[in-house]
Amino acid sequence: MILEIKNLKTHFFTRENIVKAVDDINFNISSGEIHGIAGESGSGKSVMGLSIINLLQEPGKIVEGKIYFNGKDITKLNEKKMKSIRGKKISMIFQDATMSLNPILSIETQMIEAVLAHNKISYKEAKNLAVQSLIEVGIKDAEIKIKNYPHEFSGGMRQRVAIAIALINKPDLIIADEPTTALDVTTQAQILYLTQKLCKENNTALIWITHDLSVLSGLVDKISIMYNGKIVETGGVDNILDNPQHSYTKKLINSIPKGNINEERKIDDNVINIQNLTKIYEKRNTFASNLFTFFQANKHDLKPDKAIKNLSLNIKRGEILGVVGESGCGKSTLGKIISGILEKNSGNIFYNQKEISYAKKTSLDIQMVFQDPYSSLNPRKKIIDIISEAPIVHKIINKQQSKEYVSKFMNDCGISPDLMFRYPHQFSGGQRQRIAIARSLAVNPSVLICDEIVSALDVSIQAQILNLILKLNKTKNLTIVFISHDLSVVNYISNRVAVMYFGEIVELGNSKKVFSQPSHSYTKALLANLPNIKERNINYKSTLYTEG
Amino acid sequence: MKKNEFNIVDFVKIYSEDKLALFFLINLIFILILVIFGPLFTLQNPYDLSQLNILDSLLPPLSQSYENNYFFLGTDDQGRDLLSAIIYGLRISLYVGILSVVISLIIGIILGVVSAYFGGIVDSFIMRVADMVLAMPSFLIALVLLSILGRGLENVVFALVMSQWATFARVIRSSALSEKEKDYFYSAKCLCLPQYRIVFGHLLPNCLPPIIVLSTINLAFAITLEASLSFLGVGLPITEPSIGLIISNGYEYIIVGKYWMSLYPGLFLLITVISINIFSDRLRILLNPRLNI
Repeated sequence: MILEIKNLKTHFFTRENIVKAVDDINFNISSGEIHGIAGESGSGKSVMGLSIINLLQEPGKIVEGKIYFNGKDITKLNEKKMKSIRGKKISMIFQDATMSLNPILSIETQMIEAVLAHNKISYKEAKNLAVQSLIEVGIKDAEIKIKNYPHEFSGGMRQRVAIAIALINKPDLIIADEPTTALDVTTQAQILYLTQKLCKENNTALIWITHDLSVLSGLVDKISIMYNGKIVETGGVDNILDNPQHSYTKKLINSIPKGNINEERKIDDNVINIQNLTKIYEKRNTFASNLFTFFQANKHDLKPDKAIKNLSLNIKRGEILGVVGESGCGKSTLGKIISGILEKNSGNIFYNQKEISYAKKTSLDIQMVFQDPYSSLNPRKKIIDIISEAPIVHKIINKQQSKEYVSKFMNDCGISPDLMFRYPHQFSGGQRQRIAIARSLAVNPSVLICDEIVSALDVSIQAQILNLILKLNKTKNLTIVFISHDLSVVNYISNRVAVMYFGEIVELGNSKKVFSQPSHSYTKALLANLPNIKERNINYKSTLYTEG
Repeated sequence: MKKNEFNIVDFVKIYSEDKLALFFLINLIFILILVIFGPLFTLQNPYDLSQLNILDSLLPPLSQSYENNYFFLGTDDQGRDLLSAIIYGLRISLYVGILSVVISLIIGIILGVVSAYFGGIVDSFIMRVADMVLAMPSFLIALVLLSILGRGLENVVFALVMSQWATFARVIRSSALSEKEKDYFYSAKCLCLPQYRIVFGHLLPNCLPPIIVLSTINLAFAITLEASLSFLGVGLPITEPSIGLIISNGYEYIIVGKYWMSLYPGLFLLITVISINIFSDRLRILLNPRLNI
C-alpha cells in the first residue's frame, strides 16, 4: 500500500454550521494502481484530494483520521516536511491548466523550478530533465517549445505541460482533480491515453477524481463512488459499472444518457431558414491593440476570427435539432445569432418566411436558455419578477394576473409555485435552470434555443432537465435547438443532429444515422474518442483529427 | 438555503468580530449623534453674537466663565466656546461632504452605466473626459474652480462634485462592463425588454456593491478636501464656518502658545475621517462576495 487513509474527516467551519465535506473515509491505493473517484458536485471528492497533500484552505481542517503515505502518517507533518513530499512524492494535476500554470513565467522556468526545489542538480541537468519530460507527454519540438509561455499553448497542450510538471520528479502518487473536464472529447481522449500509459510505465499510483463515470471506464483499475462525504461503494471497474450494489451508484449509472429515444419526424415545414450565414469577430482597432499587434510575433493569429463561415441550415417545426461541436466551433455564436442577441455579418435568417434582424428584435418567438444557471438569473430579483417581467412589459398579462401566470409556468417546469417569492441564490443549479426555462416559456415562444443548458449540472439533475425538454417538445410542440459539446446527451435527445467544426456544418442528418454510421471523418473521430461506460480497455489511439 | 433578507442584527454581529472596527463604528455613531443633535446641548450658538462675551476670549481649556459655564476646550479670540464651535463646524463639514458625494454618485452612476451600455463613441467621449478629470489632482480642480466662482456653500459642493464624479463613473463603468457579459443581460435582450429597463432594472442594481464602499471612502476624502479649502480661505464663507475654517482661525495663535484653538478642531476632524475610513474598510471586507457572509 502506498497510501492508506483511515477514518479521515475533513470539516469546514463556517459561520452558520459545520460542513462535513469528508466524513469518515477509508481508502487504499497500491503503487501502480489507477483509482477513479466519482461523485457529483459537493460530494467531497476534491476536498479528499486536497486533504491528502494538505493544501486545505481556511476554514477547512482535518479533524480526525490518519493518512499513511509509505507507512508514515502525514497528517501531523509540519509545512516544511510536507513541502518535501508535495511535488516530490505526491503531485497534483488540477482541472484548469490555464489557472494552474503561471501566465507570466515561461514553461522552462516553471518546470526547472519544480525540479530544483527537490533535487540538488545543476540548472543544465534540470533543463534536460524538463525537455525529456515534455517529450514524454508528446510535445513536439520540446526544446523550442519549452521557451514558450502558457498562453502560447492550446488547452490540451497546457494540460500536457501540467502533467509533465507533475511527473517530472517521478512521484509515487499523482492526484488528478478533474483534469479533462475543461477539454474537448478528442483532446480528452489523448490525455486519458497519455496518463494511463505514463503511470503504467513509471509504476505511479494515480487517483483520478471526476464527475463523469464514463471517463473512468477505459482508464482505471478500481472505482470508488462518493456521496455526501462518504465512499458508498468501492470495487473493480466491471463490478461497479455492470453490477452496482449501492442504490446511489445505480442511480448515477442510470442517469447517464444512453442511446437515442427520438425518431426522426416526417415533417417538412421549416420554421427557421438560415442561408449563407457568416459571422466575423473583428479585432478591436484601438491604439493599445495596434501597439500589441506591433510586438506580436505570430502575425497570422491576428486575422479576423471567422466564427461562422457561410452556413446554411433549416430547422423544422416541432423537432429537436442537436448541434454538437468542440469549443470554439461557433455553435454558441450560431444560437445567439438565431435568437437575435448577436449581429450577423452577412447572410439571411428567415423565421416563418420573414427575415429576422438584429437591429429590430421585436419578435418573442425565438427564445434562448443559457449555459450557466448561476449568471443567467438576475440575482437581485425575486423569481416571480424574473418570470413575469417580460410578459408584463409586452402586455401578455397585466400585473394582477402575474401570480397565477407564473405559477402555471413554474408547475410546467417542475418547480413548486410556493417558491416564487424567493431569490435565485436560494435555489440549486438544476432548479435555477428550470426557472430560466420557465422565464423563456412565459413569453410563449415557438422556438427554444438551449445553449449547453445541462453541462454545468450533475448527471442526475441533467437527466431530469433533459426529460423536461423532451416533455415540453411533445406537449407544447416547441421546436428546440439543443446546442451541446456532449455527444451522448445530443444523441439521447435529438431528432436530427448537426455536427459543427470550425464554423461549418460538416454533417447533418438523422441522429440515429449520424451516430451509428458517421460519414464525415471529423464525426468519426469524435465518436471514436467518446468515452462509454459499456466499453472497457478502449485503445485511445492518437485519433487526432486534422483539418482537410 | 441561505438566509433570505438582509439581517441587520447578524450584520452587526459579524461586523463586531473586528474590535477595532467596532470601536471606530461606535465613534462614528457618536459623532453623528453629536452633529445631528448638537444644537440641543451645546453651551451656546457660537454664531449668535449676542451670546458671546468678549471677556471670555482666549480662555484655556477647562476654564470657567462669569456665568459659571465651563469651557471644556477653551474659547477662541471672540470668546466663543470652542466645543460648540467644533460641533457646529462638523455639522457643516459633514453636510457638505455628504451632499457632494450623493450628487457625484448620481452623476457617476448615470454616466458610467450609459457609457458601459452603449460603448463605442459615447463610451470613448465620457471616459476621456473622466480621464482628464482624474489626471488632474482633485485639490487643484477644486482650488481653480473656487477661485473663479468665489466662496459659498453651493460653489464648494460644485467644486467637490467636479473633482469626484469621475472616480464613480470609472468604477461603475468597469463593474457594468463585467455584468454586461453575464447571461442574465443577454436573456433580458432576448426577451425584448426596453432599453431603460435593461439598464436601470437589470444592469444598475448589480453594479452597486462596489459603490457602497467607494462612497464612504470618498466621503472622508470630501471632508478633508473641504477642510483644506476652507483652511486656505477659498472654501466656505465666514458665515458658515466649517471645521477647516475654525482650524485656520486658531492657526495664528499657535505661535503665542494658545494651541487649543487649532489642536482640538484638528483632532475632531482626524477622528471623524479615521472613523469613516476604518468603517469603509471593514465594509469592503464584509461585502466581498467570496467571503460569503
